[in-house]
Amino acid sequence: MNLRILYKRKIALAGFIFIALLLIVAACAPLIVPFSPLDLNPADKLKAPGVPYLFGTDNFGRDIFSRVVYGARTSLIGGTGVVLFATILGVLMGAMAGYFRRIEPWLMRLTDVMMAFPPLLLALVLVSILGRGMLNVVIAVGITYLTRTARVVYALTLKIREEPYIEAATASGVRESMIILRHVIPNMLSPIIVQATFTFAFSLLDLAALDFLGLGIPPAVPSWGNMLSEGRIYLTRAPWLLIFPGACIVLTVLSFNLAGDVLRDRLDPQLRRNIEGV
Amino acid sequence: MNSQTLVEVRNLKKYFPVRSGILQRAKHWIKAVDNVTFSIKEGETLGLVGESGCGKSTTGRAILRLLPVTGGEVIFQGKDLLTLKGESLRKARKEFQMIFQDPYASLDPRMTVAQIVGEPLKAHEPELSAADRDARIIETMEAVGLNASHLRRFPFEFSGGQRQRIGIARTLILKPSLIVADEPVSALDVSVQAQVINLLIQMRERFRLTYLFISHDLSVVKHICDRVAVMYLGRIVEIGEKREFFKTPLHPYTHALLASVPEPDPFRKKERNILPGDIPTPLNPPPGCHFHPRCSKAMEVCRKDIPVLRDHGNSHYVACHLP
Repeated sequence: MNLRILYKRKIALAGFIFIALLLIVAACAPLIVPFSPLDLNPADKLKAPGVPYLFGTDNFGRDIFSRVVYGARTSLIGGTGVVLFATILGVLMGAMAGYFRRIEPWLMRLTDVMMAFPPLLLALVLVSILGRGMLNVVIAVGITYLTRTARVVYALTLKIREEPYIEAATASGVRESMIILRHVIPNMLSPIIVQATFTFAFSLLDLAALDFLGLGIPPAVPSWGNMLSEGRIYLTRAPWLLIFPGACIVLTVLSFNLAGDVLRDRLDPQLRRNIEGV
Repeated sequence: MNSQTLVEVRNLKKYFPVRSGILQRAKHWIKAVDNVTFSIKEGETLGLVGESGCGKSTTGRAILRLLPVTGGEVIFQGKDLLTLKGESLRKARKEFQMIFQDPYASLDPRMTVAQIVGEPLKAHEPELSAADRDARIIETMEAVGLNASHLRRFPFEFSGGQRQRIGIARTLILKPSLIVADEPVSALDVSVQAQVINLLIQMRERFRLTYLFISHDLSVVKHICDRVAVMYLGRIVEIGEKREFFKTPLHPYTHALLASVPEPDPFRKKERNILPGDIPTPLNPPPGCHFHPRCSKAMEVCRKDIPVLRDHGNSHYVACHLP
């Protein structure tokens, strides 16, 4: 893959570097952390950042750096899960509704009903039905974004299915399933990628919010949302309890948005040639 | 032209419903194609001409099953295409292809030229190896005046004429027998039109193609076609051999059409025959002969009876009450 484009966009490059760093840190968490993220050490509680606690400690004396590192794991897995869930099902649903008009009213009214609920409320209801745990939280948050992706894809499908190149493919005798796979979906790719990066970014916030409300991942598991939830009462005395996980959420969300922009441009052959000047 | 009939269109009808009211019931029908009957022989090119909105493109699309058809028969190689469904229709498409008017929108912007040209091959001959497929793609590209260096490029890197060549290559790769060309040059520059028309003629000779050539440009039709059919408001009003047609046009509408062709010689005197009024709305067409409100020779009978195609000799058929 030609990545010359990144030299022309320094901020996007920073975003990619941050994402890469995050992935490495999340993958190698056990090798990086100086302490176990679960070890309680009441003697060292609420220590300010310094040595040996790089980011300080929380009210139980747990090392915040270690917890942030393990939290990256939780957040990335959660966000990826939501994106996969929402994008795969949303694209299928939207493309089917746009392509097979007979099922359109059923699918789209279903998304309307789901969109009528405030997203967090819907997630709360679903979590209380399904129970806590990573998979259930991903489904609960994913359903909100699933409807949005389905809407975007549905509108795109309506536009693309009328394109003469679709008629041309039909006239050539290309199977309908192949037309959807090779013409309809690739031509929707850039908006879907943009939607997916938004979904990733916002789902991190939603996952954190669920954790913050105590309905997400069990509190024992280190996640950025859980850390914010536990740390909020120490906001004035020990702000590092919130600053580090909070900064991680902000930087991750920002980086994925920047990366999404670059991906969108790269996925369009015309834009790609123009930018790279090939 | 003593060869066999390749395609026979009988009483083809395409009515579009005009829905209104809460129940969305069809209250009116737009008869875009109304009882159209004609046949094309093997190796022949039939020109289908008429004003925009007369139903000529709809006819082409209906024959190729790109639209649901209201009624009629399309006998192609002994089978009625209108009865084909699903997989058998898809397989049958190998034999009849379409060239589209817009060379920009009819090529998928995300596919390379090799993918676009190779797609029909993939759909109909999936057992072909990648190398064999590439060979066929290159062979076809070279036949239409493109070369192998264009394979990895995207459509936006080509000019309109080159894009239309890509579109032609896509239809030729399956070696079909019938090609419906829907205004294949009207979106191109005049300088490029002649090149593409000549390419179509070359390909006809080389691959023994039969064309249904849809156009509103009579000078182009005169150059490429063997026979010409004129449509007006969904009906064929005149059909005949090219020479006969241009020498002794019989329908008043054909007269008007021919008179509207620009004359390249400014000193040649020309009979002005400008039609009064506009083409009527097909939603509520005039009774009897659709053309009578604009016809200078309209008679009482024209307002009542629909004229049928009558043989005037030399397989020249005209739908007109005039003797």
